[in-house]
Order: sequence, then C-alpha cells, then structure tokens
Amino acid sequence: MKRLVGAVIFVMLTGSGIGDPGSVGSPFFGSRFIASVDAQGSSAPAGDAENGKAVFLKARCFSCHGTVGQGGPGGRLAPKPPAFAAFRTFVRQGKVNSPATNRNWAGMPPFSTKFISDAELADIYAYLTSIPEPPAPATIALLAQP
Amino acid sequence: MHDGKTIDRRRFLKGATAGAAGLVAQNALAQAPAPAQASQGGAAGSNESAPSPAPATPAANERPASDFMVDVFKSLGIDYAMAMPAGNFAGIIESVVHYGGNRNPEWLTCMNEESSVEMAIGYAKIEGKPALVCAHATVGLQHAAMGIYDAWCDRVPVYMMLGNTQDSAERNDPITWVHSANDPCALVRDMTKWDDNPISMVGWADAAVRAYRIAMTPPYGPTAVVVDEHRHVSNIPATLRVPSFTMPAAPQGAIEAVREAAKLLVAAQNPVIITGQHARTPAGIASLVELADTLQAGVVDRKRRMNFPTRHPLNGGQAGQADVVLALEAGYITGDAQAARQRNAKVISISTNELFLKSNYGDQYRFAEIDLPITGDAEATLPTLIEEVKKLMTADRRRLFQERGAKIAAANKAAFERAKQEAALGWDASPISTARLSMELWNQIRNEDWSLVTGWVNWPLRLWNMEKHYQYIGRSGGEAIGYHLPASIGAALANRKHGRLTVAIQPDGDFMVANGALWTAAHHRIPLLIVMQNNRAYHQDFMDAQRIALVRNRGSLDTMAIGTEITNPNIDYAKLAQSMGVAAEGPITNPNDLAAAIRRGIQVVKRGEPYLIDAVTQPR
Repeated sequence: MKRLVGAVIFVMLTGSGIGDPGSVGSPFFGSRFIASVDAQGSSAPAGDAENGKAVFLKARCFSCHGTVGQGGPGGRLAPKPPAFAAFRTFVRQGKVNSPATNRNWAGMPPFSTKFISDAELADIYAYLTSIPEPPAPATIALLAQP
Repeated sequence: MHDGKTIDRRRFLKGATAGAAGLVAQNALAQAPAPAQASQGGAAGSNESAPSPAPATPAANERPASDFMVDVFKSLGIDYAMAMPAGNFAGIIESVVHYGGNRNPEWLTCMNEESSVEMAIGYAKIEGKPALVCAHATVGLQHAAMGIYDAWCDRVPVYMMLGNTQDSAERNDPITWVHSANDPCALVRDMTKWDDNPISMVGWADAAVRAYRIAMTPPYGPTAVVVDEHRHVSNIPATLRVPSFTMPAAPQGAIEAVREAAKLLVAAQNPVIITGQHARTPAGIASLVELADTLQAGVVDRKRRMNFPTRHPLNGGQAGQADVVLALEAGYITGDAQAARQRNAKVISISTNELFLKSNYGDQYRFAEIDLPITGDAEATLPTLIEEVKKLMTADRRRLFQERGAKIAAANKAAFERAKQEAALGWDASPISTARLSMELWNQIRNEDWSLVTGWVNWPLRLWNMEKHYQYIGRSGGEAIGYHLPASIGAALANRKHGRLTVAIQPDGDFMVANGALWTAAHHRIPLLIVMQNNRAYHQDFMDAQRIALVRNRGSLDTMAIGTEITNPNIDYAKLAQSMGVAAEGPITNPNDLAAAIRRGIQVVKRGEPYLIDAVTQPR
C-alpha cells in the first residue's frame, strides 16, 4: 500500500466548527459531517460519521481493527487515519499477504462496492476521523505507573 | 467394570439409550447391568450382560494389585490423579481413595478426558512434575487425544494410565468389545514419547516407573501405560516390590560445541538471544538473566514459558539485525534462520527438539538452516555456556558490551512507553478493550503473589512486571481451543498450596469446549479468578471466512458471520458458572464497572474458591 503521511485537516461542514469531536457514541455523530484533506491535497468526500460507525460495525471491521479503530490483528485506524486515498485503496484492493503466490490469506481483504459503497466508505472515513485522541497515559491512573 | 455402586459410564449410556424414549437417568441407573459375581469369560459376540471382574479377598500372602499400583504412584511423588471415571480402571480409584487415603495422589473428578489432560498440563507447567491422568483406553482416550497433542507440542510431561480389557476372552458383551482395543495407544502414538501395554503386574510396575522417567527427561512429553481391567483388580503376591527410581540428569550440549558458541557470542557485535521455552524451572530464568547481563545482549522472549523478566532492560532486541543469533528451545526459528543467512549472520541453536520427534504431525516445523546446532537441554547447558563466555571476556569487550546494553535498554524503555500509548486507545470503549481489562486486573494483583495462567491476551506481556516462573505459563502447545479453562484450573491447583493468587483471562470460544471443568474447580475448591474475554465470536475464524468471501466477491455483510459468531443468543457465562457452583457476575460491558467486580472476585478467591467475571470485550 502506498503510504501517505497525511496531515488530516478536519473541516466541520456543519455545526459549531472545529472542536472536540466528542467520544464514540456521543450525539456528535448524529449531526456533523467531516471531510479531510491529505498531504497530497486530495480531499476526502463528505461523510456521515454516525452511518459510518454503523457500517463499520456491520461490516465487522472491528473484528481486526477494534470498534474504535484502536487496532488489533489489523492495524490502528484511529485517531488520525491514513489519508483518504490510501485508505480507499487499502479497503478496495486489500493487502496481498503473500506476494509470491498473489494470495490473500492473512492480510486485509478487499471490500468491493458490492459490500461497501463509495458513499459508505466516505462515511466510515468520517467516523474514523471523528474519533478523538485518547487521553495521555500519564493521565490514566492505571497506565501512569503500571 | 461395575460393582453396583460404580457404573461404567459407557454401560450407563447403553442402559439409557436402550430404554424407552424419555427415560430418566434414575431409571437408566436401575436398568444398568447387575454386578457380576465372577469373571467367567463368555463367548465372543455374546449378548449377555457384561460380567465384570470381581475382586476376591486376598489370601494371607497376597494384596490387591491396585493397592500396589498406588504404592508405585506414591513412590513417584504423584500428588494428584485427574480423571473422568470409567469402569476399567475403577480398582485404581478405589485403591487411591480407600488404601491410599485419597492423598498423594488425591483424586480429582473431571468431566471430560480432554479436561483431565489439559488440567494436568497446567499443573505440570507450574509444579514442574506430572499429575496422573487415568482414562478409558478406547472411548476416553479419544476424548483425551487433543489434550495429549497439546502436551506433545508443548513439551509437557503428562503421565497416563489407560484402562482396557486386553484379553479378548474376557470381553463378554458387545459394549466391552467396542470398548476394547488390541493396541489402545496406537491412537496417540504419534504424539506420545512412549507407551506400553504390559500383561503382568511385574511388567506394569516396570512400565509405570519407566513411563514417569521418560516423561520427565527433557524434552518432556506425555507417556501412557495400559492397565488391564481384570489384572488390576486381581490379587498379587504381597512381596512384589516397587521398583527403585532415580531421575537422570538432563542431557547437555557437547562441550566443544558450547565453547564454539561462546566464541561466536563474545566476538559478535550485536548478538541476540531468542528463547521459546528454555526455562523448565526457575533456574532457567536466572541463567538466561546471567548470560544476557554478561553479554549485554537483547533477549527476544517468545514466551511459550516465563523465560526472562518482562521489565529487564535487555528484554527485547532486534533479531533481524543480529550478527549472531542464539536460539534456546526456540521452536519455530525457520524464518529467523533464513533471514540470518541472507545477511551472513550466524545462528546457534541449543535444543532438545531433535532428541525426540515423530513424523506425522508438523511440530518439527520447516527445516531451519542452523550454523551451530547443539543438541542438548538449553537450561542444563546454559551454566556451561555462561562459564565459557566469562572465560573469553576482556576489558575491551566489556566496555563495548556496556554501550550495546545501554542502547537496548533505551529501546526497551521506548517500547514500554509505546505500549502504554497503545493501551490508552479505546480505553473507555465498550465493549471493553483487552488493554483496559488487563490493566484493571493488574492493578489489583500487582502487590499479591500472583500467577497468570492464560496466554491469549498479549497486553500482560507488554505491561505487567513478570519475573517468576509461575507468573506466566504460555498457551496451548497445539494452538487449538479448549485448553485454557482446564489448564488454568490445573495450574491453580498447583498454586493452591503455595497460597498464590491465580488469575486467568479466559477466551469465550475456548471456554465452551470444556466448561464442565468449572464444576471440578468448584467441587475441589480450587481458587481461581476467571475474567472472561467474551468477544462473542470465534474471531480468527470469522476473519478467515470473511476474507475468503471478500476475495471471491460473494455473499453479503449479513451472511459473513454465519458459522463463526457466538450470538443470538448471547451466552450468559455467569449463570453457567453459577449452575456449577462457581460464584460469578456479569455480563459487564462498562469498563468502569470492572474494578469493583475484580475486587469482589479476589475476595472470594482468597477464601479458597473460584470466581468468574463475564466481561464483554473487544475482539482482541
């Protein structure tokens, strides 16, 4: 996958503008839309974060990436997901795990539009970009001095 | 065999199924065959009720054979016997309880032979010696096979006695025929170190002691001895002697090869040590610490056992950048060896793996190209290697080593900080993140004498301070599910006499394979805190099935999870545990509720009982 080091810029298209996007499951997702611009200047399409979360869960992306994109067997997606172009390529093409045989037996599987439409992909991206930074470990008692 | 009180469970089943539909168990019991008065040996194919061997009163110069067997078990230091009962070794149960006083060994009732073996695995990993597992040699052994495979792949000593009706002339009914085998151990011979099918009790005594010694000679592994249903309830001469028994020293690597290894390690610019399960005992941990400290070499611990302290400054290292790799009972190192060859690095291996292998199963892995293979037990060889390394040390090398060690320690510290940052992701999520669950648990056990006996969730390895051999015991050797619950209970049993607080992070799919083990924990008051990692799916299998569907571009999001999710209905693990006498609570979905539940659980466990917390978690 082509790696884009993207400075994702959040643009609040509705609501009160740039601010704390709130936590997962908060009312924030019901009323705000998010777009982003990656380092190469390609904008992410506007998406509905709330629907994105629903599709993310329905497609069971969480099985590998966690329900808030924290990662697991699959890579971390949030906060600060990769630039949209890279994200789209990753989802549509998957990641061939065994280049020698061109087989995908362990990497990211390819989601065609049959499973996730372009609009839904934008929604998922909006959901991922809306996930806030976690608190610093130093502010979490159990992680401050484990 | 049955005597009116004990009923062969397989004959019990026959009684139940032969009766009218809906027959209750009580009626089935009533229909079970009446006790036989003598073993007469009916004609082959007879449909008569099974005559069982009837113990006769021993003459003055005789004693019951199964009493003698208990003497042999005691001579071997066997503390526990783990078994689902079967009639063809009922004499052993009777003798353990009434002759041996149900101590050393104490009999534990298990609800599946696989559980018996997995419990024995967990026990051995903590206690360093085997428990006795008894099983029906035909139908019980088939249940036990998966556990035996785990023991085989994991190099764990398991010591088994298998009941069989060896003489076809004594198989007097159809069930006994289908419950007998001419060579019972053939079923598991590809995954046991040794087995025997002795005829006489003299032969049995030799086999019993030999089986123990083979199981406990590195590389450890399971062994099995067949016990004849009739012979073991007969009487034998009172003068039959228990064989004397001494354990052999573990095999060490040849000194010339060890010296060559020392030269390579001392001369290396960036040596890395890879260990999988070299530490059979606490001495193995101490030796590796000494070697790593001497060389200031990074240690990559693949944690099939507790091999190296997790917070030691040298815990870590870049195996892919090493110019010399030292592999200690490392298991799968084919990839490391291939990569080393490409960068002209040298690979040394100290392992017992090639001392004992069978051909059928793949636990030998792909052939690894090793430059200096040393056949010998790594733990037993390490003291000699350390001595040889120290002989070659110079002031210049020490100075260089210190600089190297400082870099590794800095990288180790950075990795620890990274782990904390990653643990913070999804900290407040519901379902509960496995990092949060791990740290809530750690926070309440860190000042106790604790033992973690499951190895599925990775966070404890990254964030807990593990130093002692019983604080981590790896996962299942065969990497199948059904291991963790019974193995945890066996490990908790071993920890009980030491007063350790035993905790398990229990995967739900694994739990459902053999959850009858919970009853064993309740019945025998085995203190264990089980915190469920309830992700409501066989997630690995879901990922595999989903991937195939997506590559084939067929199906829908609604059909992807068919066959791999554990929902609709969700299983209520707390109620399930409570039904078997284990105090429990849950399901807990809010991470903020976890701390109080763990506190309650620890209070119960400290009273000497098991406790289960059903935590609904993220997939991983």
